Amino acid sequence: MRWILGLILLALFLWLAQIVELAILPNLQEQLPLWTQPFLHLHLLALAAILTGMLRGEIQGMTLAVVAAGLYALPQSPGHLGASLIGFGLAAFLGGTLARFFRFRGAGFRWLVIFLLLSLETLSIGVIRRMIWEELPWRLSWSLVGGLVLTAVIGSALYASLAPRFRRDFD
Amino acid sequence: MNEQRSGSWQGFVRWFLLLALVVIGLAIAAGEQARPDVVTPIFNRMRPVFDQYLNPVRARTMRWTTSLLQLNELWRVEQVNRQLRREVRDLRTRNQLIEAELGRMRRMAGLARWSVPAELALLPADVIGWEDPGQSEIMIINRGRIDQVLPHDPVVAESGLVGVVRSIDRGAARVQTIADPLSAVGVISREQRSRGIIYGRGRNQPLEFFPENEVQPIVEGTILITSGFEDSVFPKGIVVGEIVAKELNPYGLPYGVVEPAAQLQKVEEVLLILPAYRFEEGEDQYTTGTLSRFRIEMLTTETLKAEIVPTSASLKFELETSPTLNVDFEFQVQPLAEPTTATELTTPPIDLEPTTPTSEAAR
Repeated sequence: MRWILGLILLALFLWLAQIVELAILPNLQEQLPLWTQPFLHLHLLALAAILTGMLRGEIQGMTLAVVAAGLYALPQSPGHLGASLIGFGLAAFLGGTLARFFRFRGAGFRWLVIFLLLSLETLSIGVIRRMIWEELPWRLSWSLVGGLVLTAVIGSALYASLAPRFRRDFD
Repeated sequence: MNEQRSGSWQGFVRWFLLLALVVIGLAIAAGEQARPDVVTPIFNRMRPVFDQYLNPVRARTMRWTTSLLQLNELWRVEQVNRQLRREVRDLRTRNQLIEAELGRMRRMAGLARWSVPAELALLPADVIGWEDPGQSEIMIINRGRIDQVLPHDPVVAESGLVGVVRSIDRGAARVQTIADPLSAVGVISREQRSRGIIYGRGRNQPLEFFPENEVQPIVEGTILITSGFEDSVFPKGIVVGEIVAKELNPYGLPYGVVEPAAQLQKVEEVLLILPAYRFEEGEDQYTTGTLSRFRIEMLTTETLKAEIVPTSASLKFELETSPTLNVDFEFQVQPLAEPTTATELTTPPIDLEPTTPTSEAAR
């Protein structure tokens, strides 16, 4: 029963994350004032892959990274799928690997790990897209960093609430 | 032993899967860039599936954000509105100050109607206060000893005689108006040239004109001007007032009720008539008591050929730091329209008798 509930929650989260990240936030990014932008750069689909990796291990994390990358890239024009696969997959894999060594009990540490994984995801996607499409500019805005910080806060809270029930025993 | 083997095998699988994912990802990324003819149809087939539920959300989000932006715009308009209200309030205040200064300029322009001989000088002054002990009518002006003002200097306003300086301080002077009970001014009627004296009767009381000859008829509407008799402090020709009624005093003597030409209670700027020598070094020709040898010509509106028209005004005031007000005016002198012939006929110029060197002859 527990894994069925987990799957339902996961599907629900992915669906909501896709709607928020692809339908709601881009519209708001275009129209809302500058100070709101950090709230509009949430990486929720990548967060789903990272959380799955941290809770269930590398393979489950990478599986979800494939799904999340598809949900993220396919509704858009070509150019995001490959990079998203690598970025999401790397972050989820590292999350699963770290989960073998740490239990992420401290909120600050948990936030830091998720933030670093999200940064790795963003960096790897940026590097790959830059490798393929050379004309893309290198841009790191404060709103993007703010978005990563906020996504890490959400991820930390979600992990804290999900870990007691869904975390795999890595020992 | 078996567990260790199983663990290493699982680790190998994990790393292999990661490597495979990276390789597949790179291949897909390269394909997205290099083979759009293959990739784009796949994306085009997949996109409608997602658009079925993403597009309604996009549209609704757009509506919400539009509403939010409209609210934001309303808020911005409200901010602008508040700012404009503040500006309107400030501008109204400035307008009132400029209107006040403009009124003062107009009054000063009215004072410019006065024309005096070269031997006399006109010194403008502001009324800065009133003293009213009992029925006295004493006004205080902002000219005094440092301005060469002396007692017995005549004081006039735009439309007529105000009074005479009674006492002076360093920078102020007290002017006894013609309404003061101690005031008596020798006058003649402008039309009939009949003589008499105007007495003041105190505050808010009409002036009284007693003809020199008591059988002389008192005609309502008669304009009275200063007579300029010997030893009079007033030059001849200054309009004092108009007879508006004829009455009898308790002793049965007829007198004329005179309305002063100058509105004494409302006057704000006056002119002092001084001997010009006071402003010239080394000369001492006339005394205040002999000003009656001169004749004042009051110009009527019809004889004015130009008026002062303000073209712009800038005003700076610092109410918080210091209660000062600086008003800079630019104005030009515009010629008045030529009076019509009818006007000239209906308003004849003031006809003054030529002043003779000896007052006795005029008397």
